[in-house]
Amino acid sequence: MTDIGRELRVIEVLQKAKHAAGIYSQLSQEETDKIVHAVYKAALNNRVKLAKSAVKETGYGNCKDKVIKNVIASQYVYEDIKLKKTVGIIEEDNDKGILKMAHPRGPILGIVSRYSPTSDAIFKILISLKTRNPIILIPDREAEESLKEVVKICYEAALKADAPDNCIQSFYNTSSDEFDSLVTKSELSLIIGAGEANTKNRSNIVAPVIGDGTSNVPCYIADTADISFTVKEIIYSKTFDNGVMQQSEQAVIINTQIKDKVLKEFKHNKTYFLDDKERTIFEELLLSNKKVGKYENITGKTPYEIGKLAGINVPKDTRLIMVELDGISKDHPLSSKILAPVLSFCFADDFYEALNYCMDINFLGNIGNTVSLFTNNNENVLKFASIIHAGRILINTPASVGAIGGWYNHLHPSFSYACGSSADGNTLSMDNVSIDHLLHIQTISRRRPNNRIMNFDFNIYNNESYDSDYIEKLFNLNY
Amino acid sequence: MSVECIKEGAEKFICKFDERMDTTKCMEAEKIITGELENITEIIFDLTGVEYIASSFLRLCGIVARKVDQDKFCITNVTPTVRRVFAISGLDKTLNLMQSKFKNK
Repeated sequence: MTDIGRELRVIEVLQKAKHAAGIYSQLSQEETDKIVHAVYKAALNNRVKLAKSAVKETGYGNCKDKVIKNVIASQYVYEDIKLKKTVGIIEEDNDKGILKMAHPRGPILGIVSRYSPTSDAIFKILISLKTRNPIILIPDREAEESLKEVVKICYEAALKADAPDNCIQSFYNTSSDEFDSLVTKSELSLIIGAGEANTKNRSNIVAPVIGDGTSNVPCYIADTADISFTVKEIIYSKTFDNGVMQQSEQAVIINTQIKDKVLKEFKHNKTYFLDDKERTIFEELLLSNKKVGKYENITGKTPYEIGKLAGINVPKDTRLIMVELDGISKDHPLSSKILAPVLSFCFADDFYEALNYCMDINFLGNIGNTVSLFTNNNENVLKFASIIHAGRILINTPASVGAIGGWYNHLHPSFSYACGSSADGNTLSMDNVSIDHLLHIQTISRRRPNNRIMNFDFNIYNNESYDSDYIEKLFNLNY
Repeated sequence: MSVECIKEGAEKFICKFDERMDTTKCMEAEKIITGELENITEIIFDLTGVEYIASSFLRLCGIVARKVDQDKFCITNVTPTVRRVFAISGLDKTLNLMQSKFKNK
């Protein structure tokens, strides 16, 4: 395709999205909710089919857990948003004379994860439709067919429910130039799920970006943790969908006081501990296929398959490979993100040492994403949160499914995790992305005078001899 | 009836639309209007009272805009709701929207 042809493709998809935005802006809450309901049902009905196609196409993860992800993206997201007002007046305060009115933002670009190609797409579609924003989805090259299926199912359902034409679009075989052109267009109101690789060094992006930082998630097991419970939760988390969740634990830091008990508990739960020789072999395997910071050859594979690749005799029923860290840095591949059921571990003598290790691991990824803590000491929780830069601090919760939200906690169920300000850039928020981020909220304000200001003599301000202390005293007199 | 079309002279066409131009009515209107496009050089869409337009209405505008000269196709008496649709879709910059003093005789 020529450069002009590619540019025309970009212009066409944006034009259609803008038209759809115009039409969608007319719909009432009832009409909008009818569309969202229809799409959620269609997605939930096809949860297994879509999970199978995602695993088949990408080779990442497992079908059982991908079904759960599709359920979360459709049913749990729907349950979270179904009663929320996203059209017209959404808030009213008669005393203050303030009305808040929700308006759509406009066309949204959703960049879909290769590791959750169907669930991520379903989630982005539902929150966009609920907020009357047309969405344009871009898949990862490895997961285009999966996205095509999702878009077909959801779009057909949306149209049957009288949604505007082109409320859902997708963009395939995207060249680098097309992507660059698309993300810099002012017609876009928001980009979701951008990811570090997509937005880093693209300084001419006009639309605000929200989510999706990559991550390197540390997990601290404190001395007050319930060990048996903790180990089970971590194993579940790290093996969920064969470890491809970005928010799954990458390394556990174990308080030295409980290290023997913790390791014993892991060993009782079908884990395989690499010895020193096996660790070296495994590191070489990782380094032999490092692509854009990811270890592609083992991503989403089972421990048995990983063992075969490495030439290590890992028993077939192993759930998790455990490997002790000998350092935390870019030169220590085991301390970087590994999207597979491989868990690194190290020990810390006290809380502050653990906190430092957590920060070191966190900084290896894109800071701001997620951190996990298993403890029964509430004071430690607050200290931890005040120092660690992460949007999600998960307490006594499996990190992968905990970060998704809505299941193990009351976070909004989401497949996009904003990371706030970090060394790699700024995103709009630190929240789990949800419908609140996709709306413009207009404020209608009636006259409700602030009597304190109304009754204050403004001439006082113009008298240079009055200092701030005096003014403050006068301003607060009798209040 | 989705649209009422009045011919003024040999080549001028004025179209008045139903209050709610949903997809079905738009398709009906498109058939009627496109059937006449060969014979007209000037066309006015009078949107008095129209409070809702479907995607197909934008498509119809696009078809007509491609067929006649830009200054020979205008859209008048656009209600604020529908004006907003044109503004969000960006079409207020490409189509000829005007507050018309035209009165149907």
